[in-house]
Amino acid sequence: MPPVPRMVPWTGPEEYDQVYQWLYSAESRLRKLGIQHVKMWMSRGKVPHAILSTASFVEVQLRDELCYDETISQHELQLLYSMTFTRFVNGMVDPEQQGVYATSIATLAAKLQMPLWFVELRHMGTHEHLPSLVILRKGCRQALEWLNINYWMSQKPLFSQRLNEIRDVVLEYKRTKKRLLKEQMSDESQSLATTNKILKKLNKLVSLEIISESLIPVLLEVGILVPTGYDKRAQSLDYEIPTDRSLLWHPFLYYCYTTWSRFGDEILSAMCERLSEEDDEYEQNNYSLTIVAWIKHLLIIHYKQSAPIFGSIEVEGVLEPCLRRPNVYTRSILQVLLDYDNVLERSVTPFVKYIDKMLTMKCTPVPISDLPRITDEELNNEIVELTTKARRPLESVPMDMTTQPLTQTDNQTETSWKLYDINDWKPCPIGCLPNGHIPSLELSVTTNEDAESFVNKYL
Amino acid sequence: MAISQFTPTRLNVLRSEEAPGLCLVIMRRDESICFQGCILVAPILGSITIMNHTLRGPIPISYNIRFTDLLDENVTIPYYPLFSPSSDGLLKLEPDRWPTESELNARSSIKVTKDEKRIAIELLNQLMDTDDILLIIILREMAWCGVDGIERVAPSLYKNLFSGQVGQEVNADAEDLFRLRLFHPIFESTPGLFALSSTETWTGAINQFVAEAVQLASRSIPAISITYGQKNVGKSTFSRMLINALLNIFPKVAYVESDVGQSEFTPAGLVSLTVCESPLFGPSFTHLSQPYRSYFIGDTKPRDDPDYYLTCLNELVNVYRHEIAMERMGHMDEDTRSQGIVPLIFNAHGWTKGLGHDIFLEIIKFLNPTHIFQFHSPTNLYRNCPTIPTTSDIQHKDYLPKHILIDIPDSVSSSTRLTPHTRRTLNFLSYFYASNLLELNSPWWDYNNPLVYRVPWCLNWKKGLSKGVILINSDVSLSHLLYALNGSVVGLIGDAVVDKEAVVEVCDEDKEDRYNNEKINVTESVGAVSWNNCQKRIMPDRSISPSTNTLHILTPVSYTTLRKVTAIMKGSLELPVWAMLDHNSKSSTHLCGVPWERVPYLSLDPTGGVGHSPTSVRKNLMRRGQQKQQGSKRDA
Repeated sequence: MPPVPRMVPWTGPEEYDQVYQWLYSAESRLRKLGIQHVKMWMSRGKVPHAILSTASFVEVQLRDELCYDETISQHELQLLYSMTFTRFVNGMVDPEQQGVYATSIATLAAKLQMPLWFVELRHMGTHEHLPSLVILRKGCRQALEWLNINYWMSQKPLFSQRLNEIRDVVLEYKRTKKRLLKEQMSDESQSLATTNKILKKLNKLVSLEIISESLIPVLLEVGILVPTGYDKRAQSLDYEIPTDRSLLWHPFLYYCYTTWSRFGDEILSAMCERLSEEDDEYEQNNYSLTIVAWIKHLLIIHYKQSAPIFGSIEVEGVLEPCLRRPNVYTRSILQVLLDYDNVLERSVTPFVKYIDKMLTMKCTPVPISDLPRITDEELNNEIVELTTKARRPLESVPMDMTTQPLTQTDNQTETSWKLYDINDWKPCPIGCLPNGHIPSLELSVTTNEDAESFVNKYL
Repeated sequence: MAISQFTPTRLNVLRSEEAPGLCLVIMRRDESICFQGCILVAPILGSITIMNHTLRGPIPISYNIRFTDLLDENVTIPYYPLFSPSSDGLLKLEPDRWPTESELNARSSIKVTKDEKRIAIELLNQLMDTDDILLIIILREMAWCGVDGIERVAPSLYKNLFSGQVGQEVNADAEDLFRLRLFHPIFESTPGLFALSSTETWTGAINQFVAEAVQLASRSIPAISITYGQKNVGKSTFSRMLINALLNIFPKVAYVESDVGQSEFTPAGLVSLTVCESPLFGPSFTHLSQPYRSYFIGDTKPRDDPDYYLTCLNELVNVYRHEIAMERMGHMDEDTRSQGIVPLIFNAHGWTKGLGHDIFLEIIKFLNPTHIFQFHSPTNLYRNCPTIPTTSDIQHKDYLPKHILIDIPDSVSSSTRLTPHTRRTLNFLSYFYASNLLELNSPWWDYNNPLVYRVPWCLNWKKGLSKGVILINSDVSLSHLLYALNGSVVGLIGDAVVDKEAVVEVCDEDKEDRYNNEKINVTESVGAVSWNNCQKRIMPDRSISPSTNTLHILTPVSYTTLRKVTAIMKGSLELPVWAMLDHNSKSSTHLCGVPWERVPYLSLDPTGGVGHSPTSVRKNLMRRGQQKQQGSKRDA
């Protein structure tokens, strides 16, 4: 049973970090934005008390700074600050009341390493005469600092944690396998058992759905498939992966393929996506050259079938990005496809010729007159044709109960409610769209004048 | 004690190979079956009283029992669904000692089929000894209703609610004779299980109320009762028994729920008026239904806006008086007049201190109850609520309210009961997973299809929300509205009356003036549900343009109801985490193909730092002074 997650009001780490930056920004406009965001979180619920306190302090501080004229009296400000302090201290201390009987707030505050005078300010604000504005302002600044250190900064770089764990396993494998290869262990099965034990750890961290976002990016980092030392990387397009490295990684890749069937296709297409001439950083250090060497290596193994790592791969996954992004790297990969794949050779050769031409004449602009001309009419005809083609298989599907609401909505297109098109629907987490992404939630208010009338705020 | 007084044998549990999910149970004096699970019950002979409602079989008890009477096609035998989860007091099947022989009251739409009737008669004809039989019932398996699926949705909260036993195993041989899935008779004392019981004062009070309601009805006065007491004293159970007892006599009973934290017929956060026609055998989450009228409070306590809360309740009472209390009065003669009377049971909130008590007194003023049931404990004084003043303004015009004190039953160990929060979650999940189709052999709950899989409704807010979005008690800026709404629980607000002249605008504070008697034309009103709970998803909206302004909304209500929606309202109700998960999947890395790291509003990461937890309130903290007091008490 997977663990039960915790509910949080934010969509993800980006939003969380953004609000943190805003609340502690030097610019009052941004701090105000931060407060607004926390208020929205409050409406969703489950906001950590430290965040609520931070936002309250920032809000009072803003009121203090921005309304320096007569619009707010000193006494009002004192009341605002005092209430914020009371709620801040109580909220921090209350969860620490673990016993049956109440422990003194000072004792609990000491446990939290909270400055004692925060507790005093709370006490004065509730029972004694109101603390002066000078001391309240100072307290507020210090409280914000204290929250920053004790709450905000202690949040771990939350979400990269899993990637770290995956990387650890991969590196552990690399170390162990290298050692085993060096030792030339005679007992093959024992060595296999050792590495498999490590690899099995990956099963808990990775699943088929997320290999392209977790395991594969880690494998393509420098220091894994692409060595850290520049001299160990490919120096030219002719470079071949040396035997010691293929011995090192073949068992790993084979394990991944047998565990996650799509692994082979995914890593090849991810590798192809990395090949870009524009990326200076990689270019300089021969990163792309090494990746090209790996792709060619894997393709050749695939065609030669001598020791297949990936039982079956779809070559289209490599072909498509290569054709889409013609450059010297992808050209070199296409050559491998041409050399080994007779079927592809016939269909792809014209494209390759064109790419060759393009790569050599890269700097000479093509005159517009040379481009094939397509009229609007032709385009429209094509669209019509494609749409009818796309619809055909759907019509053959018999209408059953589940699609009934659709027909219901058909004759009421003017109504505001309709069921999501069942053919397009994909299960997705709540708060996400069927494509798995969180929608843009920004509501640009200024563009629409009647937006204000759209929201009736009750109270 | 949750123990059956029954020894199953082949002579008193009759089964036919032809119908595997069915058996006949013959019970005699002093026998009873206490069970966990769910089952359909149809009495054939004698009568049985469950939670104060009496079910009678078509055959009377006599010296010469003739089962062939059942063959008559006009004799229909209704099935009653019984839900007995371990979270509540277990139901007991026990024959009435003095069976009454009044007419058959069929209050269930599910009937025993012809084939089942034939099988039953065949089985009964084999019966040798018919002496001393007090009760014969058909038990029919109802595992197909899918109610136990809730155990899979939130396994850590609702484990063994219906299936299996908490703690000890039951006598396997004994159970085997029944061979009914999700029907577990209890034959040994089992920790964590207790039988539903009512004290003598409860029975006395209920009988007195029913008798007096009948008297009042003959004078064309509907009986109105209000149940008042602190939380966790048994208000809901008592109210349920009142409904069941009244349904023995009255064809319909009205019920107003004002406890927004633990509603009887709806998910939390609503006040509602429901008209009951069939008895309730089971806890709230097993019989959620569309209310006659409901208003969205948006919180589990009415603390933030008592005036709005009171206005909503006043509305409900008005609707009851004008549309329900005396239906079909016009063409009734004196004798049958009482049949058109619909008594009202008002379940008060459990907030009896301070402002809560004041609110209660306000309710009394507009409710004009005929009976006030107040929970009272002579020993545990702290569980009592403040006394209700008997001033003139809370007195009924024609009738002085009867003030009846009823016992707070001995508290069952609280560890076995669910917390109010988990009960709310239970209602919430049951509401969203209900299939709203109460037929034989079809699932009543579809827990196999997680909410994340379900196809949502798309609402074009430009066209559909003529009255906009209402945020209750929150300080959200307009630019953050979509952030606040995405993946949250909202109320769908609609017009209760189709006639545009009499639109109910509950979001309007001046509603009271608008909602006077002239404007509501009672006879023409359409009983549309005005507010419903739902949860939503949001589509991208780069700008406010009519083409993209779509909200994705998950709701079990029908299209016809949705078309009446004019506004959505968001309060502080939170979506339970269980509604956001895919309980069919065992993956620890992703949810519906989205890696956990990118699933919004859910986090698997550990938290740290001071103040990392949301503010929680603890109310049982004692002071040093109390320590001394308790110490001296002990010494004494």
